[in-house]
Amino acid sequence: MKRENPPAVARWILEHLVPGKKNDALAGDLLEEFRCGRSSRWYWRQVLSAFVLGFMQESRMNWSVFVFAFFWALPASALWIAVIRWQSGTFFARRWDLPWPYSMICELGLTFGSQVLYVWAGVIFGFAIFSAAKKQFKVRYLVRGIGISLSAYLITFVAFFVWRLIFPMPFDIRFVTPAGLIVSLSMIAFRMTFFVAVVAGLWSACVSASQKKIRTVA
Amino acid sequence: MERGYLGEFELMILLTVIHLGEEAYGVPISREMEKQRRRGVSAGSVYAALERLEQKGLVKSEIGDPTPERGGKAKRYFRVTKEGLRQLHKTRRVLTAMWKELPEFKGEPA
Repeated sequence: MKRENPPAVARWILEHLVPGKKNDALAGDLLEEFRCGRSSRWYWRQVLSAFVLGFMQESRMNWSVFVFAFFWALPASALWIAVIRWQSGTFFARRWDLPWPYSMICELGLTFGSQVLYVWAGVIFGFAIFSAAKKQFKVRYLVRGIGISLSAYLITFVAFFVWRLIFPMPFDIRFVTPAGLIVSLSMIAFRMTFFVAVVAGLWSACVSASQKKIRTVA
Repeated sequence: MERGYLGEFELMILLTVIHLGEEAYGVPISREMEKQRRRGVSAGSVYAALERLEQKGLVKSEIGDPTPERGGKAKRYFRVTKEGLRQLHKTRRVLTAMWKELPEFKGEPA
């Protein structure tokens, strides 16, 4: 029996995750072909190929987003250590003596909050640079970028937490040397969380803002 | 600035778009490419090439009306621009001249 609709997950990936402005037309083309008798396997192959090609093409066009995020993520580990060293003489050092949930709020505010602020600062700064270069500034794109960067950071934060459970840091973070900061796998993984979050936020804000509108036939 | 020559895939796509005329949208372009190349073509790669050609100003695209058989998605029609035609002729001239320079093939496939 001929199926009317292609696999729902593949269709969702095509409509929401494949980068570029062509998704609607491509989604329609693939649906038309599917309804003409193409298999689900064929549909999946087309979607995955469109995802990889679309991502590669957008990356080539927006390489500056990656470069900016790379340099923004570079000092993140040094800043984190600075925050840890700074808090030792403050109220935050005694946070675990507080009753729950205040202890947890303090912990989240210090670690997660400070890191999210750093990600947001990167997205705002990057957006300002790219907007000035393109002479186009729209607050709604910036708000979207900030939201997306938060979601991306939440995911990478959990991933990094799991990473640290599997591969604990081989040194005391308070006494790490500059060389340890640069070459340590844990620190590279830590920077990746910022890199991914800033790329996601800036991509969403800047690339969406610069996409051209296609003329519609009346 | 002088543009580079067209790649094989881009050249085939431009010729297909001209061949299809008013009906040049994703599905017929991919089908025609498959027919001519005698192997599968990914719709994503066709669109990626068309995007590149549009950025170079060699094709133009327009969105048609949404249709129910496509799940309410509109077709995106492509058309070769004057610059695209100029590039095609230039590429053909260069390729023809290069073929003419070659010694005669022996055991040429049919």
